[in-house]
Amino acid sequence: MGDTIGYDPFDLDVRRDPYPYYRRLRDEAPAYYVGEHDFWVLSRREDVFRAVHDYETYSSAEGIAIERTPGVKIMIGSDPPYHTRVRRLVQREFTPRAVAGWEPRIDKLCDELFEELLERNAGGDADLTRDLATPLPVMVIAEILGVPVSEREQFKQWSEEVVYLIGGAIDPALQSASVSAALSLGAYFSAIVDERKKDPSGDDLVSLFVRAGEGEDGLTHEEIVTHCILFLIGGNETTTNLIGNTVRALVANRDAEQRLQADPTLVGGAIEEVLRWDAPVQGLFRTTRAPVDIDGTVVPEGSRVQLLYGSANRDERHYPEPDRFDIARGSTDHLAFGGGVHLCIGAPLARLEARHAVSRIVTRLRNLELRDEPQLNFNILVRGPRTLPVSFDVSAAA
Amino acid sequence: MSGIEIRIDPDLCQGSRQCSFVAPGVFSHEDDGTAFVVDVDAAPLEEIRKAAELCPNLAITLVVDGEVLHQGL
Repeated sequence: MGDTIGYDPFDLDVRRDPYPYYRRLRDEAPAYYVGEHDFWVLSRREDVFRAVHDYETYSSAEGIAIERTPGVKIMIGSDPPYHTRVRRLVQREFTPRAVAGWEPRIDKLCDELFEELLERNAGGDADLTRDLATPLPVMVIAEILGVPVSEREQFKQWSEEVVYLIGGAIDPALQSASVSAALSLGAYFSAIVDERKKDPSGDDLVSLFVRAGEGEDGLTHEEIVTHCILFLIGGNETTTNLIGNTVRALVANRDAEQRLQADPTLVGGAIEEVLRWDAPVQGLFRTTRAPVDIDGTVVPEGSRVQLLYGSANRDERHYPEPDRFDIARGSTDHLAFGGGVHLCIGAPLARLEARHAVSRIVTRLRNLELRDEPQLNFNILVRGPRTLPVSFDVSAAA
Repeated sequence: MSGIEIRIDPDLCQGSRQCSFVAPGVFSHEDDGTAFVVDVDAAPLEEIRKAAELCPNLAITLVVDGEVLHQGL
């Protein structure tokens, strides 16, 4: 069965445009075994949907990246009750209301970044990934964590390298860079946590972790460091990709861009459609705790399984004309943020940041063109442009 | 007369609609997705318990005949 499709998730052509390959998986092998790397992929919405809602069968306890990482105490890579315990600690910081408190700050950061972006553009060197989509989320999550924004370039580099590691670092040289980035991040946050322990009265996330103590409901020093890294990476990499994927979608769908320029209140709906159409997180992993039957194919107990959100969101069994980008689709049930207990805690923040960034793009920039082909991040977990070289005119109205 | 009481904390809810996927008909949603209860009898108790348990934002508390079956945040 596997031989007739020959789906290779690491193939560069697949990563450039995975969607036609996903369609074949959905049609011909909704549970597909990637023999070379010993994992399965589920591609139909129905199956991915069921899996995210069944943490007993589809466990996160061996991690959600490619390699099994059992025993790491981290919210995203655990099941209830540990998962629930950590989520309880931090949930109130990420409600829509709490996140809205950051809106004036996000607005101001966007203003500052746009000034620089316009200057870069005047010099013929604007890049929407480098100048907007990357710095905005890094600066916001750094402030939420309460760490110096001046380190943002370093954060970005570390987090890109760590994401490369969890996305299946197949090049040994890059793999060792990734491991060293993870160690550097750990050392950096360990020092911050020690510092906070002297005065944990701040309203930042690190202080909140420290205040929870090391008791039954709290976290050890090591667990705090792990979660700082989780929030730093979770808070920037994916939102960067969401903003970048939106720009790519609008450049490829000029009618949608024009509608947003005419009516920027449609931006929220457009971002939902980007989440469905070109998901920043293409799929995370689980481990099966029992054999599961997917349309006649049995996935054995103990298997690593990638839940392909990016494919589920394009399933013609659920979405009419799934390959069509339609900002008025109004779908509220895409799986871009996962689902069930693990549904992305930062989703309200990602939406808010993307809305501010994209609103400015459609109101202030005209004749937006790519100067060069964007470089994509060739990673089987996340999808987005690492570079987005653009040129544009500045709207006279703005 | 049903002894089922479902409490939703609207401040915690992020509008992901997970509850409606698990227990259809019990919940409805504001335009921004914020959940509220419309019919506690629309789905079996087991589905409602699952909906409470799966709420990612811990926004749902489920009380049956005075006993807390699931405690939100």
